[in-house]
Amino acid sequence: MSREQPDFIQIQQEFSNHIKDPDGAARPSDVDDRHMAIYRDLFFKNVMGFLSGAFPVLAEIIGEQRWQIIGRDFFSNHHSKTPYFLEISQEFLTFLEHEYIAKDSDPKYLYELAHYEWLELFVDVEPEGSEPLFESDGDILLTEPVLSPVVEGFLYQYPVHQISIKNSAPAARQSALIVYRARNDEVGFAETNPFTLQLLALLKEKGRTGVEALTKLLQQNGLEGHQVAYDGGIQTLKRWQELGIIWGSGR
Amino acid sequence: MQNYPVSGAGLGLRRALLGPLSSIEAEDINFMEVAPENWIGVGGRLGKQFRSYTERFDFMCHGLSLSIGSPDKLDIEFVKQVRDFMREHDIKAYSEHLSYCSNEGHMYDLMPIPFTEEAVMHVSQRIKVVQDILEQPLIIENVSAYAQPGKQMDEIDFLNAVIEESDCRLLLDVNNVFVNSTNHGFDAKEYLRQIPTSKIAYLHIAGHYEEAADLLVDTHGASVKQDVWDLLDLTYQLHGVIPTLLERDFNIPSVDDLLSEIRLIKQAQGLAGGLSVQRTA
Repeated sequence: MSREQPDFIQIQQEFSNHIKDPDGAARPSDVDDRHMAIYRDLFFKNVMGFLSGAFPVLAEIIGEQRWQIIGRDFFSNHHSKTPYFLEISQEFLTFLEHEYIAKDSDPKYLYELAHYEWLELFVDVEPEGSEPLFESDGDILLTEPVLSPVVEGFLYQYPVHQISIKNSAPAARQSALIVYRARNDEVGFAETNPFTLQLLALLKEKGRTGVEALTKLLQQNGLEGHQVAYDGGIQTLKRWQELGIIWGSGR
Repeated sequence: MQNYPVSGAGLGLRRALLGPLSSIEAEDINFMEVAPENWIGVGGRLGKQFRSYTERFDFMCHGLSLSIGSPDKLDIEFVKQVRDFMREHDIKAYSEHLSYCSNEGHMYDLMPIPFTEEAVMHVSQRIKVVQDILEQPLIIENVSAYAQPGKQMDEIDFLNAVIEESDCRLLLDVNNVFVNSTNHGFDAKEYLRQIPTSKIAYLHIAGHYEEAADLLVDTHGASVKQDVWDLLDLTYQLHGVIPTLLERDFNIPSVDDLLSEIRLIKQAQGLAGGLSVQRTA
């Protein structure tokens, strides 16, 4: 027997490896199965509780049996780094992206749906930094707009915002989605297009008025002086101000 | 007179209780406790609600992820984040479980450290590192356990050896003493007698689930059992009237029911306080 590790650490490794993977790793010889079962159940139920709480739509669509198998794969094989419980969902996303081997029967949008469900949690709890000062109905065209303190836009290949147990096999369709913290701290959702996702990115860079951001967007896309595109952009900015993607003008 | 970080009777604050407890006063619940792992880095509506509590109540941090007995490296960055969180919210002290919850990554629940001399040294050395960062004693809690792998000494001797070696303080969980005395067949009263009075920072009580007559599970999902109330009375008699917190994490009852259980703690404290006054008179 190797003496590189103290005995107690070898016992800890046996104990924890068996909890992670009961079929693949034997329990310590001095613990009977009845007592070991308490730990196996507590740990796995705990992790599944976090996953099902964070990814309710995905869990329902995947189905109990397959969801448990994916959960066990995550718990057995992924080395979670975060000590924070709300970030277990982020660990699961990392696992899906880099470690999970999809089955043919898995929905093609599995990762994207998980990402969208994670995004809702992220926008809900991410710290806002300092409390922004703004005029909610101020002029955002000629002054710099105050964006929602937590706002993210992503281009998905599936309409992940419409997927549910009743709509679990949608056709692929590019979907530009913005998830943001509204002025009342609720999470807001908006569908947009790839073009305006670029506008959001320009606004995040700061230092531009609404019109300047829009002008830059048109330049980037070879649409300088294009009146229809310009008018559309103005409408988008106004709609974002109504929704609370833009909280208002600065004060 | 011993110096306790908090006083009276407390309650563990869960996210599900943020709404129900919003009109409760500090006279009803004298202090609260949260897992820093649930609140560090949380802003938005939850962060604002949480702040409204730390502004009104005395708080303790009761951690879950420190993994003080782990084979994995101690997460120094995390300890610093806990320290900063405590400063930000004026949290009195930090308690953690004498346990580990990671091995090549976090597993998010508590495992029993083998009770060996080597483990005493391993844990104590890590507690000292944490205490240096916090610039105050860490408070460690005796945990409930359903197995004792690699055991070479009794639980009480392991606990006392760690307290002695690391010079930390103790969160004595009275329910866990009862659960373990049943699961592992020792005398709970004798265990309590061997606790060093001067090291106790505060107490926990909670309900447990009876899986079988000889196997209790520390669920925090039921009301406190009479056996545990009796051990709480004995603890007060042996060690004085000590701040005591009720843990309730699942099947959370109405606020009225929680408050009546907290009043039972205060009654027990009042009774024990009266007795000790009589004894000294």
